[in-house]
Amino acid sequence: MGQILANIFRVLNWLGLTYFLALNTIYLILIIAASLNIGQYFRKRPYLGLEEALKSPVTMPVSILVPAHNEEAVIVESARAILALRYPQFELIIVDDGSSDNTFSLLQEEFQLVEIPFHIEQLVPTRGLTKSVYIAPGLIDLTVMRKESVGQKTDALNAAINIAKYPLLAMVDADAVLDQDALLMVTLPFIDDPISVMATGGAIRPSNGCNVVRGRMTEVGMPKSWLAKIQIVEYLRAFLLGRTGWSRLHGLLIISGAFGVFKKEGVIAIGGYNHDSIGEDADLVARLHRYYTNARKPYQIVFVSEPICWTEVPEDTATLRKQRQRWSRGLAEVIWTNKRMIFNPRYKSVGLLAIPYFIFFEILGPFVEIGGILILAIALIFHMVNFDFAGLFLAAALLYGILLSILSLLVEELSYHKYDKWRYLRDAVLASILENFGFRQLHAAWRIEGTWQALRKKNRSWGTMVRKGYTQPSTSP
Amino acid sequence: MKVALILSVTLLSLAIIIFTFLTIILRFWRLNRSKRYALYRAKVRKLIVELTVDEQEPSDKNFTRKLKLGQLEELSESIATKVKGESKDRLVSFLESKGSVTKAIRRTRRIGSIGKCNAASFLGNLSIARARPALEALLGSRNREVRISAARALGQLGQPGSIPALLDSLDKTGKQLPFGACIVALLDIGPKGEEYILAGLEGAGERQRAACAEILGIINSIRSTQALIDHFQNDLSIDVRIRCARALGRIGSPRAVSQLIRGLEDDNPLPLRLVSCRSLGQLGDPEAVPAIANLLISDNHQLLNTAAQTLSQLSSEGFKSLTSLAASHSPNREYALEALARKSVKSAVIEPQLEPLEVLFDYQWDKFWQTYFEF
Repeated sequence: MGQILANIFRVLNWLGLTYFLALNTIYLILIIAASLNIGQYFRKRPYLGLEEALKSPVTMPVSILVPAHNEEAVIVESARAILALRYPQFELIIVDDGSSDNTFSLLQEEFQLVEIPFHIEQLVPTRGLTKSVYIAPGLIDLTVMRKESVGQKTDALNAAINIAKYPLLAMVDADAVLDQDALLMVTLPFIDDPISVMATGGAIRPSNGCNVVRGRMTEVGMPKSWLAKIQIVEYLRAFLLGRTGWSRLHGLLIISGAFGVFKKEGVIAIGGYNHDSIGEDADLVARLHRYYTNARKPYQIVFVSEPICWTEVPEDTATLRKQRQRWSRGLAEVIWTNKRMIFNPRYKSVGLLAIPYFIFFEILGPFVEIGGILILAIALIFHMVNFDFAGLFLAAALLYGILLSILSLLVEELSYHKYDKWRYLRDAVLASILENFGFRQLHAAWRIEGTWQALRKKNRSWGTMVRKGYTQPSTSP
Repeated sequence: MKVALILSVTLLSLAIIIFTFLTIILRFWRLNRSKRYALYRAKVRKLIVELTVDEQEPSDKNFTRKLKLGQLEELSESIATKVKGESKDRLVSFLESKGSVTKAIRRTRRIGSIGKCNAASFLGNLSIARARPALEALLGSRNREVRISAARALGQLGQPGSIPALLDSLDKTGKQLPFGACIVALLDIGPKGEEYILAGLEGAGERQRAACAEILGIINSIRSTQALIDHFQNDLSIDVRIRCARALGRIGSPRAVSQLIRGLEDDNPLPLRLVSCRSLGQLGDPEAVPAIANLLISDNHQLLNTAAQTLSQLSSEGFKSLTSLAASHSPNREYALEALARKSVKSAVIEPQLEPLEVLFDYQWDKFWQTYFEF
């Protein structure tokens, strides 16, 4: 019995080691691919043609869609900031999705909204009844739609798509803080290639600890909470570098729901957002991949690495847990819905690389990580732990994780250099180390919970995120 | 296996230490460089102004000897966009004397896209007329950013002779100039290039004709009305026809009305009908009202919406047809109601909120006294 157990543990050791090497090597490849991309982008930045796009009368106009459910803390400043974006022609559509707070009254007071009769064509399906439509007088192109909430952000977005009048749709979260050129940067791929580019996403960074005045980022800072600091490093590594890497490998599967631009004809062709999906952003992108590949039409989905959208991240474990559960649940559901794409050479790098990566490393990764800890515990009970091996393996796993985070910091330092104070760098390095002791394991457990919920098809609600509102500027001289 | 793990742990630890130090060193270098560069920049800027704009001898001769040409060029370029006339000429001749202009023209032929972009930007900002052939050659580059910088520079040069090269670059397979970049360059050259743009409208390339139609509308080229009408009617490309319709609306010639009305007919593609409708709205001719009002019986949401919005902008005739539709029992009356409401809200003048003192002035004193005396 003892021998059998020992053999099992030996096999598991090898499996774990191989898995851990494969996962981190893929991360390393993604970081290298992203660094090359960012380096190239950074050197060409002055010649990208932003000013030409701004001045050109033929730049494609954009409908900016903002779903808002109980967003009274941020909605007015957010709307003001969006209306002040540098872009030749755009409209802002805010959907008040059954808010029970002052979201609508604040908007009405600020922009002197007037109700108009409306007629909406159902280009994409909606569930909640549209109650009224308001527009702002004068030159401001602002429409506010009030609808009954069905508890789904996707329904609000679909309702907004139905009244959008321009060929490009920008989906923006109500609490997102956009840089002034954010829209220009993210629509640049559409301007270059108006035929085949179907969607673009911008890089997202945590806004916690930053100074935001009138919906505009005035100073980038680090939050006090270590949980938020760890998330800053995590966003840098996983979202900025990970997604840039996938974009370079033509396998981008997620465009963040906080800020992404889509071609309207594409979104309508696939029937808009899927009401039943909790990971609506990944679901939309996966369906776009599927639709255009099946239709044999050339298409591109591009990621812009410039940090242009800032969003508040949870600073308490309860909210963070819900968020991460939702992400994992969403991802598992999206992959299940699009299972025909898995290892299907027709879908090229999405089917052969991106989706298998998400299955083996993003969905199964937490199971392997927590499983490893459990096996270690069992081995300890049966006195079968080879302490040398276990210690070295654990050390290698932790050190590889830290190395990847430090490499992300180095890329950030070489390129955008947003966290410019010495103490921010110190905190980021510390967060890169601390992340591996506790947070990573907890995160793995939350992700398992999310995947489990997806398997049981339970808990489809979005959950609530408590907004702090924007930090006011300091009054010190 | 144990050895491999020990080796991995050692290597990983080393890598972490090296990369952390590298990040710290990089930050030191960056901060130091930006401080030094800011000081240097201030000195060089002062010197350039003395040498070129004020025509003085440099106050710091030691510094002049140590000047680095690259930074001098970079700063001259940033100043060049802010000075005009004789000052700019002096700045250019100063840089010519240093050999910078010739060097920049040579740089456009070297390998490396960033160098080419920098050279094009330098030549464009300084408006070096003799750099035109070099910049036109850059339009054929395989690199997108190089093509954009060349187009931008040619626009800054403002020579109508470069228009054919700009237009040709729109249809080069695999080396296409982005449409927006070409449009902006053509706009920078402006109406003096009308002749070339009109000739370009007869070109073979679809994107070229589309750009010409767009620009002719923007620069209000009345003499191109007939050519635009011809292309609106007969061009093989729908995109060109759409842009011609838009241009005709912008130019505002009454000659285009009857043609645009034909553009509303059912056998035309939907995008063309929509743009024709909007252009008729811009022309504001009451003659178009019945044709647009006819669209209000359509079953296409986009067409109905556009027609109703256009009618709301079209004089009293359009307004009348909308109000009669709004009062009817037609299933499409909601479109008329929405268009009328949008028009009235959008044209509403918002009174600024009254200050406390103004409230006193604005108070209806006559009513107050009336009430008071009645009491």
